[in-house]
Amino acid sequence: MSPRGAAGAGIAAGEALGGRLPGDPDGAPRGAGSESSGRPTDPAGAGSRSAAGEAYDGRLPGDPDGAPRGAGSESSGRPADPDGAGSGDAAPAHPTAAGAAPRGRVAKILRSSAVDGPGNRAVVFLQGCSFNCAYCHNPETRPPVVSPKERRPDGSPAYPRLMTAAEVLAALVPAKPFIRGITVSGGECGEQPEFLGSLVEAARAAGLPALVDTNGSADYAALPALVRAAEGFMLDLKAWDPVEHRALTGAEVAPVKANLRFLAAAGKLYELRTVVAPGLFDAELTVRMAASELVALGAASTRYKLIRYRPQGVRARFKDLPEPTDEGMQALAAIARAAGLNDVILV
Amino acid sequence: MNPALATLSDRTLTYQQKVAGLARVAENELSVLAIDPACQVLRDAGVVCDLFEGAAPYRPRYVAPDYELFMRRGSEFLGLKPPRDIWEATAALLVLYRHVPSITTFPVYLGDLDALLEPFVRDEAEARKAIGLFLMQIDRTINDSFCHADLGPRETRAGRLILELSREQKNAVPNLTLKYDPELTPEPFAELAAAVALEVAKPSFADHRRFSADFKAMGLDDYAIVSCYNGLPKGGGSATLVRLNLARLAPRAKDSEELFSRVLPEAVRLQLAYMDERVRFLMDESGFFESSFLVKEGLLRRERVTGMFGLVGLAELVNAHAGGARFGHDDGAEALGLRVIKAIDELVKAHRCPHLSFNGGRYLLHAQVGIDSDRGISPGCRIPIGQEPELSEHILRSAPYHAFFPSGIGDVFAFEPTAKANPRQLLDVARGALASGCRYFSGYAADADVVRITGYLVKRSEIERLNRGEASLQDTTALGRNAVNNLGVLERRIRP
Repeated sequence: MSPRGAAGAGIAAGEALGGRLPGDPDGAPRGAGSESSGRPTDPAGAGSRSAAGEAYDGRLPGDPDGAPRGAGSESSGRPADPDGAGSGDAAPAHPTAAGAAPRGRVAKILRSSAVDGPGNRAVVFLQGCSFNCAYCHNPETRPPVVSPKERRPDGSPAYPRLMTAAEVLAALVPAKPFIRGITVSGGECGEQPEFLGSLVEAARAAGLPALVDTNGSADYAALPALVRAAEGFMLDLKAWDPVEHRALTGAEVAPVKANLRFLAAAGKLYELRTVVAPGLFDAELTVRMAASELVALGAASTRYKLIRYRPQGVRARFKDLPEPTDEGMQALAAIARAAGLNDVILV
Repeated sequence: MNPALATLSDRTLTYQQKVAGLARVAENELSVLAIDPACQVLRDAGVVCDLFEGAAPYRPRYVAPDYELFMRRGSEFLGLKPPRDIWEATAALLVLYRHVPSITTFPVYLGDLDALLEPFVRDEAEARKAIGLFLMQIDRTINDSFCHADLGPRETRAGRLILELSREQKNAVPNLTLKYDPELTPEPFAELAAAVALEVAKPSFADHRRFSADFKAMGLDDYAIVSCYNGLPKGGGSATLVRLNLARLAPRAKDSEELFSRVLPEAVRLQLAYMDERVRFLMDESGFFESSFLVKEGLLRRERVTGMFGLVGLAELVNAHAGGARFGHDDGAEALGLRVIKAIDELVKAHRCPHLSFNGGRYLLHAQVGIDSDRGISPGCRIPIGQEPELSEHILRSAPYHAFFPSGIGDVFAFEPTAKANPRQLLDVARGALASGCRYFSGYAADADVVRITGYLVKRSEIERLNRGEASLQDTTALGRNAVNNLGVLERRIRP
């Protein structure tokens, strides 16, 4: 079986799940009638990966060593793998016995990254995201599943897998001298808040400040311990307009805006990002409103990263979305700066 | 064709490259060295190799002049007084560079450039213009990228200007090292260095504390990083560099028992004797130390000249004798690799060259980066290209060797171009590498025109020029092209 086949198995099972994540305590509103899997996609992951070229570099999720992915990966990410259906294990987010360390679904661990926050950082991708963004670059991280296999054919651990925070940190020991922190991404890390909290706190205790890369669907105001322990949050804003946001992601924008305000006011909004994909939403409106909001909140120095949509890694039916032009990106940056933001970057 | 005729009629050589080539042809007509027949067997087999140093050494291979002394005193021979402003300072150095010999016919060391020029930086705009012209002249007239300048560890205005101008000019020459010390090198200066490295593949980062301590133990308060990454005594240099090709040595032992009991000690002994003979001719017969004004004026001191015992191909030797364990990946391979290096280190330390006084006549170990004709032979103790593990494991597997090589060892890492938006990443990795035991770290972004071949820098655009059959200004372009073909240096694993 190709390595891709192994990954596909989990995906197929997850797609069948649909709906709400078992054990997900943070019941954010769900897009009514959104197609197969219920919730909107990975904004955060999509954007940052697109900058790095990471998501489509032929690696399996969870393989820090980068085993090649089989051909045709770009076309799937959805239940394209016929022998995979039903073979993945749908895993609860927090199968915690009372008092035991929470375990989370981990899609992939990267020991080094230049594009997930300042300096060199390890990145922990959590599995499962209920946003269903049209331009998602790593759709394989959407279903809330773990691999049915413990090991890959070469003996290395199979991902996605259930792990405790201590296990994740143990996997990062070799990286420790080279990183200034970790970034927890996805999938959508906010969908496993208990595990996310334990990971962020354990990382901090180990001398590794953690950034949380999120689509903003979780209610961070209700997670004060996590917010305190995190170095900061990188929040994706997909679209400002509620109708456009729903169409683009299958999810409501209200919780995202609530988080934008809450995190900015708490001094924890490290970065706001928007993936610019012409035709899918009104980027000018989104950038203008987001920038004005930040300025009004007294957070004019928050970095706003505008990320150019690129088609690599997206699902086949979205392949033909147009890419933004340089001029268009510059015009958006100018809007954000005119609104008063002083740290606007294009990638 | 007659080698002299072939050289002078070569369409891809500049006039200067022909002159240097003809000098090599003439030198190699001589047979003035007494070479042990057993050593000649190893030389013919490519096990012991003097890296085209020539048949009759008439200058040290690497000369590292005391430029501070020159700036304080000027030069009687050159008729130069100590410089008084930035224009005189840069002009004086350019004059002296013209007269610093080495294996390449060009200077391989330009000094601690920031410290040399800082006293003359008064008006920053004027200094920028002067240093810009200075760097451009170096690139256009020192047409060989085994030419190295050092910066740091402290931040200076001159240091910042040199980094900024290097980024603007995008030249292959000179190679640059930042002597990095976490207590002396300010964060913004180190970040600038990292950002420039991603653009133009330089500077590299040297562990200043380790190099300082190593040379302190040899009785010196200072050191120079020269040529690729060679740590050498400042005000002296290295008489010779001969390398032991462990990849070629490996098949001469039927197992590791025979390797350690006979084959390796014998090869080391013969290489040491060959080096002694080369040093003897240079120091006692060539007349260099009697005639050079550098020596007479104290810019180059006999007692600060050492010799470098080089080696390559550790990975291939280990893979041949580690019983299936893979170099760079398995603990068993690492144990064997370290055992080999320790054995060589002990044999080399136990030897005294009778013609050298520096460090008691002991040679310094050097992890040689290879020559362009090497095929399937990894530089020094490096993990082969194409088999590199994940970044942190790669560095941690490489670090244990660095302690043994005061005269140079280092690895080169290619990063995703997206890293240019976050140069602190490279700084974090470089700093982590030094803290983990590496003494030297080089990185660049995978899309840069200037690339680090093995230790030296070449522009891809110049390689293309050579590929079109045109001459290239730098003689190192040809070496880079061959290394691209033979060593796959553009296929380094790209780090996210």
